[in-house]
Amino acid sequence: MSELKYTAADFKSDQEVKWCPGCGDYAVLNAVQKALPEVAEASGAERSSFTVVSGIGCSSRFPYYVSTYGFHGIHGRANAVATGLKVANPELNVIVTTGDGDSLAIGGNHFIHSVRRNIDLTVILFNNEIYGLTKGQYSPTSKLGKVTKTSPYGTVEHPFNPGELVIAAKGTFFARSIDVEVLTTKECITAAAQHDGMAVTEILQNCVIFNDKTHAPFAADAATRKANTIMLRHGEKMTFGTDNEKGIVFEDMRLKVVTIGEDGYTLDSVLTHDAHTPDTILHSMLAAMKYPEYPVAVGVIRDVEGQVVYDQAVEAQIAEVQSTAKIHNVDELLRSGETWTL
Amino acid sequence: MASKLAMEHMTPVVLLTDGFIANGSQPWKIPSMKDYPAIKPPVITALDKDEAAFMPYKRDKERLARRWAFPGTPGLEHRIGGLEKDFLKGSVSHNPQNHQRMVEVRAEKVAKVADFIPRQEVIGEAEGDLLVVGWGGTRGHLVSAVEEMQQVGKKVSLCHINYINPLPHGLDDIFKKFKNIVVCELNEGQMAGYLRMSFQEHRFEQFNKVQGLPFTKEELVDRFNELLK
Ligand code: SF4
Repeated sequence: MSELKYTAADFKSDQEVKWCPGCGDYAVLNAVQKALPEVAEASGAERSSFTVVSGIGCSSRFPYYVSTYGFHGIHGRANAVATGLKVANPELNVIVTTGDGDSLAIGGNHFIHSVRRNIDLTVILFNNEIYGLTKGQYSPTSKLGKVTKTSPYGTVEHPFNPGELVIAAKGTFFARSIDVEVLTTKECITAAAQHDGMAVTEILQNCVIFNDKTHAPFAADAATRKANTIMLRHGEKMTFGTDNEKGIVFEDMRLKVVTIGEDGYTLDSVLTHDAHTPDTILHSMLAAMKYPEYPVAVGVIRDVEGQVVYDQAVEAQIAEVQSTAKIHNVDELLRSGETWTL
Repeated sequence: MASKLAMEHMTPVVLLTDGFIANGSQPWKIPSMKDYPAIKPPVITALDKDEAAFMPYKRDKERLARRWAFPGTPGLEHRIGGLEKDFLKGSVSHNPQNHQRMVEVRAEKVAKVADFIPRQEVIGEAEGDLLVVGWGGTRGHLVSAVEEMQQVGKKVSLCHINYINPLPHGLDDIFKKFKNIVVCELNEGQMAGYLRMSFQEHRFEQFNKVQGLPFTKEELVDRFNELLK
């Protein structure tokens, strides 16, 4: 690590970090500050080429704490602001920090369209299934029936699963981590930042004040996570469990959890993760796996390269049109129609 | 001009337009870009000589504009956003005194824009019996009505305002020189209310219409004649 040009400390600003004690956001900040030196190293990027853009919400305070360019933006519009920035200067490494309220409610359209356009952004989506900053209203990812200040008798609406949303919009990258799993988060963000195109990493984050333990049934402690989540890595078998004794197989058009060595299932029957296939079906099924029927999938679920990347395509198109166009400036544009002098 | 102000003064600018401007047509001489004033935003690529560390909220004296460091510029990394910032350092500040100072400096920055926009002019004589005040897409009808009255010897002039906040310099001197002032607007009188708030020593009559139609020259002339009685 000592050979890297930057260390995590280089990405720490002098700003006092203001989240509630015990908030999951601290761990994510820590993971990002650890990931950025590696990302910089891999791409040869200067610290100043990183820009963190956010919307509004607890997680959107993030840019203040990273010692590089930062823009604490407009509610729901982090992806729109980031799109402008990336298209204006494709050399930048643009990171978006946003939440389930910011990007899936008010910013839902900006979010799905930036995924669809495959803009080269690294989006970190903090999912705590609640509006924390505004003190506990239900969000588009709150579980059905969740009792909150704005749903005193429980919600009557189905939540979004951000992974399914991204993959349905033909997103080229989707990863998931849990706030306390700093190394997994770092691994996901490092991969996301190196991905060519829009890379969404969902962090299952605990809001200790307004939605405490929402992810606890499968994420409470290391043992629970080992038993109830599955770390997906490209090319590796989909196994998990306390003793890695379980696996995921594909049967009757569905995913199924089996115990290796029981009912005729062997390690060979277990699926091998292919994150690189452009096909969306299996990725969507993996992202949709819900506890307790399934383990919750973490790691890089989808990472497809070779698709059209919006900002690159815009840059190439501008260069091409400039080289052939008859109009080169505003004066020529204004005189390009039918004009006459009286 | 909106872009020039936004970028040189580092402030949001709201450019108002209306249906009459959008739908009206007339031949016009296409300007040449070389006759337009240059836009010189305060973009920087290095620290000032007297600056040890970047102070993103340092302002120039003339405009009170912050300097503009583009993302990607080494050494000028900084954060901006909606939370109140320290007066110089630009870090998030919850200090009440700092907040007051920042609110005041932002208001002053906007007020200073008046030093950079054209001084208000009057169409017609500089003094008279009636000053017609208008703004926006009503200009054409107001000019026609005022000119018609001037041709028959009435002492009527027009003051058409192009900047709402800040208002241009020179308005007070103009208002002083007329016996009567009427503010004509295609709304219920927002500009009249704003002028009353800003120039309490003057009296403003109103002429308003909200029918989704422009003023007609006839109704304007009738109203002006009434006011001249
Ligand atoms: S309200 Fe919740 S999400 Fe926000 S800082 Fe506090 S614990 Fe974190």
